[in-house]
Amino acid sequence: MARFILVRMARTALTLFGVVLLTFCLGRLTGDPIAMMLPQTATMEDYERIRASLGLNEPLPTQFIIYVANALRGDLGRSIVFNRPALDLVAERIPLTLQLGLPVLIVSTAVGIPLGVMTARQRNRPFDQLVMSLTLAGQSLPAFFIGILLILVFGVYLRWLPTFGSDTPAHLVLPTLTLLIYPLAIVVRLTRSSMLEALTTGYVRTAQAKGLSEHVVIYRHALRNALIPVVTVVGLQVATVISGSAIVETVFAWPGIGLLAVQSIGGRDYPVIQTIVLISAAAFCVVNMLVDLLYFVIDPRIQSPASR
Amino acid sequence: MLKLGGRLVILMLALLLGLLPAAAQDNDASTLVIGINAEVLSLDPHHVPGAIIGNRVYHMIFDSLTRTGSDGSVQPMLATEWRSVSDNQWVFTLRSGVRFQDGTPLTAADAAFSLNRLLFSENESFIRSSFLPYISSVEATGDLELTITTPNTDPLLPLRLASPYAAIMPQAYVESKTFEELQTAPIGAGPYRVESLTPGDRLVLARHDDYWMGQPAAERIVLRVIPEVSTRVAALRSGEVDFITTVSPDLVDELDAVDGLRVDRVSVYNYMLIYFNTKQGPTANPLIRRALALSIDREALANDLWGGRVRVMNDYLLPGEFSYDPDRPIFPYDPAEAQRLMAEAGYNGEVIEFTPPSTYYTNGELVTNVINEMWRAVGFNVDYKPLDTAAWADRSLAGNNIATLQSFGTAGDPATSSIIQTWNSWMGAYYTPSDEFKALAAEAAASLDPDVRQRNYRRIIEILDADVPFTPLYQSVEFYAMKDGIQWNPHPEFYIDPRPGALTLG
Repeated sequence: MARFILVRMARTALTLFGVVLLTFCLGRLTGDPIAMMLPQTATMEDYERIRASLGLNEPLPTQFIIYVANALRGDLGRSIVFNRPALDLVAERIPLTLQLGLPVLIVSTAVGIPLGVMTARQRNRPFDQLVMSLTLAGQSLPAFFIGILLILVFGVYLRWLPTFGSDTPAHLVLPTLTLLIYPLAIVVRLTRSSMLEALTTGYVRTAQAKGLSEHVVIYRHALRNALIPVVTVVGLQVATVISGSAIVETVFAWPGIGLLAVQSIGGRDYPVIQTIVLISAAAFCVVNMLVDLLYFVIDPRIQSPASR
Repeated sequence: MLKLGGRLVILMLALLLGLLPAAAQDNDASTLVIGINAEVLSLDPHHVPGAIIGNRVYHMIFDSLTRTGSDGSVQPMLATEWRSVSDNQWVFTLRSGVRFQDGTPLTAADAAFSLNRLLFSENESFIRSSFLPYISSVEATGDLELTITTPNTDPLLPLRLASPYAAIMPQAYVESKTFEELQTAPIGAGPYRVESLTPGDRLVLARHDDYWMGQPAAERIVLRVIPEVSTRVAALRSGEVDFITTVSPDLVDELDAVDGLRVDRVSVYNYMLIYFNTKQGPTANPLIRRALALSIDREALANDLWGGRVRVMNDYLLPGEFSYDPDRPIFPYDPAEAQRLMAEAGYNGEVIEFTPPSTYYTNGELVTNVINEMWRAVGFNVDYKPLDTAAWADRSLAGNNIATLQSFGTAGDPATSSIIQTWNSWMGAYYTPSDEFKALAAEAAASLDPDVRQRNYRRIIEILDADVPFTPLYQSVEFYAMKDGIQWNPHPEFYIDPRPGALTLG
């Protein structure tokens, strides 16, 4: 197990390096923050002077080496548009993104898995058909549309809930709901199809033949085997939670990482974009590793490389 | 498992809710809550990019020596009077008894320190280039006397300093803070002081009780960042905010029809135009440029895409600007003449690349799409490629546009506005004014005789008419929506002026 973790960590470091390199180059290839922020009176000399002061006139490889060297010392650069350290800007927004993402993650798992099991057991009956149509709608409606619709109904017409911002628990309801619909739909549908497959297997029929209670058959035998793909998808969602949802945060003026990302990409604020991508990628790698470890717990047949 | 899951959900939610801060007191009667469209990037006016959002905020916190009134005139602020003492020196007398928000009195030393920080601080500044060519040095020559030396004779210096970026700050405070700290917690002499800044969310401003002009109406102003326009409108309709900026033209009618709300249209000191590359491509031929300008039906753009809410341009200057000609007819639409010019130029279907920014300007994509169709209708082979803002900025700076959409800021006097200044900047890659143009501009900028200046500016406009380096479309507008009771003086520089007498909450 220890060796497995070590190997994974080495691979994670390599992945992160690749991500940093890619973000670094892509950002610089698609546009220039200085060109966008210069007033109309600025001359080419002003442009060159400001670029030089930010180190942007160095050859790209030199810039990259300087960036990596600073990053290894914990300095991820200063935002070009905010004049503040990029890491501070991102760090102060992480709690807000988590406030939105964690409830979504918990509810989509805690409600989605049981709902998926229930629909699988009631396959093709009215309850199953109802849930399946609703989840299909949830998967296909864009978050932007759902968000605006919820704002109009609950914020403007009924006036039950605030339309934007992040001040009180009430502010959490509409954005969480908007963000929840898609992952919930996926978890329900995936659990259902996975369960349907498990319910036709020999070991489930054996368990039923042994006269075990239905509850035990479903939850101990079938669900445990059906969980593998669901865990993978939930794992991926953990990563999205950390990187934030750009659309939902924009619609609800929720000042999390997603909103900062949209703004920074628009302004080509390289240091901030790189910091956000780096943190998201790191979170993604760690979660992926945890999901892989979880496989061993759920299904002992998946051999841990350490015991091989 | 379900039961356990359910309990876990409740427990976790309860924990999370406990972590949320208590509701802010936004909604009492003496607080004005304004929903703005973009985040205030930095509260340090000396170093930030020249974005509109800066104009909105800086003048609430800071005062400058002078300001531009809504009629375009220069008005006294922290300076009460100014006089030119020699060919290249101005002396400003500062207002006595002014206190900064930390209670310290304003002195000429503070003013000199602030302008020097804007011009020469070690931190690079995006806005500096708007001032640096016009000021050589700034010195305190008395307790309340400031002497500014200019490189050339410059009758327009007081107008140039009427900018929120030329803000005056207390020297002692600025020197006691780091550069980073000043980005979020500066001090000025303006009507409101910074109470708190929550990045991406809100800026809370509290009334400066010792403000020299008297007490402003609102005790607090809270600026809330709401990037999405539909959400901004919803927040106003639900009463969560009192006032919103940047309403898109298609939402104006809907909002105006709501009881208790009002939409105000403000024409700003800025207009939209198409500029051409006079140095390369088919547009290097002035006949082609004139033909392109003549095939744009500006009234159709204004009526069909803006609901008649924008003023079609008739001059290269705006009403209220020195030497503007109100009697000039609007820029003509004459497709027949355009086709005659195309034939005269021997135009033979050469591709004309049209690369406007797609989302940067309000209605920009719609307007350029229609212009593209108008050009095609007279027979131009247009390659219409709207660009992402960053890509457009890159291409513009590199001098690679053939035709694109742009706005020009212009106010007060043509010498300080884009039609003359812009060709010294990176836009010089697209058009080089003739020696006559340059001589006229230089003579006007240094002359105190209004007749000479008027004559020179009008002659420059004749040159622009002949050369067509760009062609104006319509004056830019900004739509604000608010609760009916709010009274304010709309200002053409994107200001929401909260000063005493300028704004009442009703």
